[in-house]
Amino acid sequence: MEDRVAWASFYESYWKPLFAFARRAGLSESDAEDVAQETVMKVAQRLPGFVYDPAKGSFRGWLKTIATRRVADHFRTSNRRLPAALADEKEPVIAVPPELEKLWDEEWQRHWLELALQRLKQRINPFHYQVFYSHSARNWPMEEVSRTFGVKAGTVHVIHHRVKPIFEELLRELREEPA
Amino acid sequence: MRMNSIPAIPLLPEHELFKPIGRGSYGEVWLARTITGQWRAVKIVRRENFEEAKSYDREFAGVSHYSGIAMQQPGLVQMYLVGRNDAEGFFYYTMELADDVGSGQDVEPTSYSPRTLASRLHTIGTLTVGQALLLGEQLALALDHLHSHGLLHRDVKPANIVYVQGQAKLADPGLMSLVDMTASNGTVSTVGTHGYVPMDGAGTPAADLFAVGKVLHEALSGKDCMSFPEFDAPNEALRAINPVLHKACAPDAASRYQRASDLAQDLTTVRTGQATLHIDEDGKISYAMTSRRKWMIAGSTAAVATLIAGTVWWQRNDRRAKAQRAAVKLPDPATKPPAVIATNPPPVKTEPEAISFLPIMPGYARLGAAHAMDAAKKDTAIRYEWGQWEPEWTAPGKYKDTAGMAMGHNHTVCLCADGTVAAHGFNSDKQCDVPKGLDSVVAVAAGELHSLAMTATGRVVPWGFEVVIDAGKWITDAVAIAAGGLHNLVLRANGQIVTWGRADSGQCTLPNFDGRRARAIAAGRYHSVALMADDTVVCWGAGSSETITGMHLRQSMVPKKLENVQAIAAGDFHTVALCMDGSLVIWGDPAAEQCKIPVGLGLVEAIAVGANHNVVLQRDGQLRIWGDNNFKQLATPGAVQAQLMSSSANLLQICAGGNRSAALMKG
Repeated sequence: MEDRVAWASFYESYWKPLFAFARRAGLSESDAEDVAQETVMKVAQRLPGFVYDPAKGSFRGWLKTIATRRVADHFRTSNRRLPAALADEKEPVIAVPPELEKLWDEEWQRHWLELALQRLKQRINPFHYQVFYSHSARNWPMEEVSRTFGVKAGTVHVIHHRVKPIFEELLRELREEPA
Repeated sequence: MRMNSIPAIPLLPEHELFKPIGRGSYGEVWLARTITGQWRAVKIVRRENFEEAKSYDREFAGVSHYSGIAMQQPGLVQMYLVGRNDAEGFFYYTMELADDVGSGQDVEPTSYSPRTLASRLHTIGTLTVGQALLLGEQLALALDHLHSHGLLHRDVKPANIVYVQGQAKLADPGLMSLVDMTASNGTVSTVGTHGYVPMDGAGTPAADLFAVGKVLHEALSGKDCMSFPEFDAPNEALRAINPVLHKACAPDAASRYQRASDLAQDLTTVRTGQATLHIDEDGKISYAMTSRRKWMIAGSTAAVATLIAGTVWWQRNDRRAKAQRAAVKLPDPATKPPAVIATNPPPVKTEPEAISFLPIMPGYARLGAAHAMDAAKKDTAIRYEWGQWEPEWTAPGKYKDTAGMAMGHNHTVCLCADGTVAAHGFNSDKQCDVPKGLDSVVAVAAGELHSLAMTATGRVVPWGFEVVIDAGKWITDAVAIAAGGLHNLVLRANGQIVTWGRADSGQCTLPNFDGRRARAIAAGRYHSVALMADDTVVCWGAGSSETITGMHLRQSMVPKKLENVQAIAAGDFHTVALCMDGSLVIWGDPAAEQCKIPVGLGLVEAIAVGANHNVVLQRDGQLRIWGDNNFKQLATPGAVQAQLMSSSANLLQICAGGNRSAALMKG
């Protein structure tokens, strides 16, 4: 039961950024779904015997390699012009082309922010979340937050000040999670 | 629960089934037609989809119970027929068919797809705050009706809110009686859609209201139901409704709305500007009533629970009454006349007598509209308004001189001396945003959330809430206009009446005039009035029978043998007729002050009627106002009284609407 729960949590945590990464790499929606699915399946196959060794790179780094390979496979299958960086199958497994590296990092950053916001929503008062989300995630000026929700600008400031450390802590926890 | 992937077409008596059009809880919904050619939605509920027979029987009992009560509440999809076929293992029920997503009420079976809130949001993105407030009220009142009869909906979501003749209705209830839910100690399976169900489950009235809050947030934000309470774009209009959403969707069950009538009431107070809800920095919600009021909510043992929007009065015997908000019937777009249009047959083709139409705007004193226009052009007309005023309403600007006024429920529309229009007051639905370039206007009218103007060429221009359509393309001979709660009347030069808008109380169902023509029109909040060319009066809409319930307070029951009428006016629940001899005849709510003739009332020259009060100008120059005074709408300003004492000719026009009164004076 614990394994099922953990697996469901893993799936929920990683499927979306894998899909988003594959889309940004240039795949269609259905191909991107396949990449996400295949990557997760690959992890599932390897996990029973997997021993995490930080010296060999992070779990996410390993995930990145698998996902990148899957993206490359899909380009080959569709006979599309393969990005040059993926053309050489003899690239070392741990090496990821710089442009895909950037895409991957951006997607993970975005994913962590979303996850952190979701966790924040569970942790604090909905109104505080609403104010913080509007000001910090959507970059509304304080006056707009004040006008839209009928609170003084000072109150917006206080709420932001209280919530920001909680949010940053959640973000830090996500970044440090090995899996 | 198992669902057949390919349902076999069931055989139903007197119905032809065309195709499945949806899947609901426990069964599928079919497009069907009766042997008389009426389109219906038919839901087939199959026994095989239930784990236990008693669950199947419970569902049937709930549906049977629902069919009887749904007809009393316009916000619920009506059921026509419930049937059962135990041999084949299903029961079924026939319902109103939702409008087609593209063609409205023109049903083409091969392409039919039901119009729902989900499809509407997919097309338009979001609703305005005004639209969301009204939708929320309708849903809350519909749920209040269900809950008061011991039923829950359990699956409120945009896909289950359908539009029937333009009106939003709750559909596909996963019904279960409250008694059953309690007795089962929550062990029965609960339906509901993830995202619309609170953490504590779907089996309570508060859970239905939680879902309404989620729906409204989704409709306002354009985001999915899991994103509450996020908004991506600032919008000051959200300020009023945001606290209501937070209360409906509070994580703590005890902090949420427990009764649908409370949710409806809060949405109404916000929509009508009667009160302001606030959230403090800790997320607690409080109320700032904009003026001292008492709410009257009437419960009826026959249990149609309704709510009076923005009006309070105490009956002499302390009987409480509640007026039901109902949805607007949206007409088709302007490429053709609206679907709900009603026009009485044209008069018999004999040599027509000239019709003596009334002045095109009511309330003018004896010297008439021309006198008022003259004063306005000479810069000597002064407008006085008193009664309800809320600080968040749009204040009057520096208008060019006012030649005439119309007062809606919470806003005022002014006809200016140069034929342009200006408006001020509550502006939730842009009812004060006069269309650019509008000129050559000769009359204005104001409803609850919308405004009308009539031009010198006989065109009618509406703006504001969704009753708006461009009537200019097909009405070119208007001689008078009237705006009711959410419906409109237009009088044409040949004496025909044209009407469209909210139709739930029959206010747009023209009666048989027997070929007679009208010479004046008036629109109350839920009823309509015509003064005929033979000086008799016809009423239709709410209050057409002796039975008093909800908003039906006999306001359409014209006294027998009423004749020689020279002017008419209509409020929320009463109607006033001014006879040629200067006497008044009033009918409607029998216990209300405004339906009584005040002692010592002299002969009357002009009448104006608000929601629950009357303003009359006597022939001797005195102004008399009586009825509801909760907003000091009876307190004539000293300046007006002084000018009247100086000369009665100083009063150009009287006006009333909602909880306000006005006088246009010659300075």
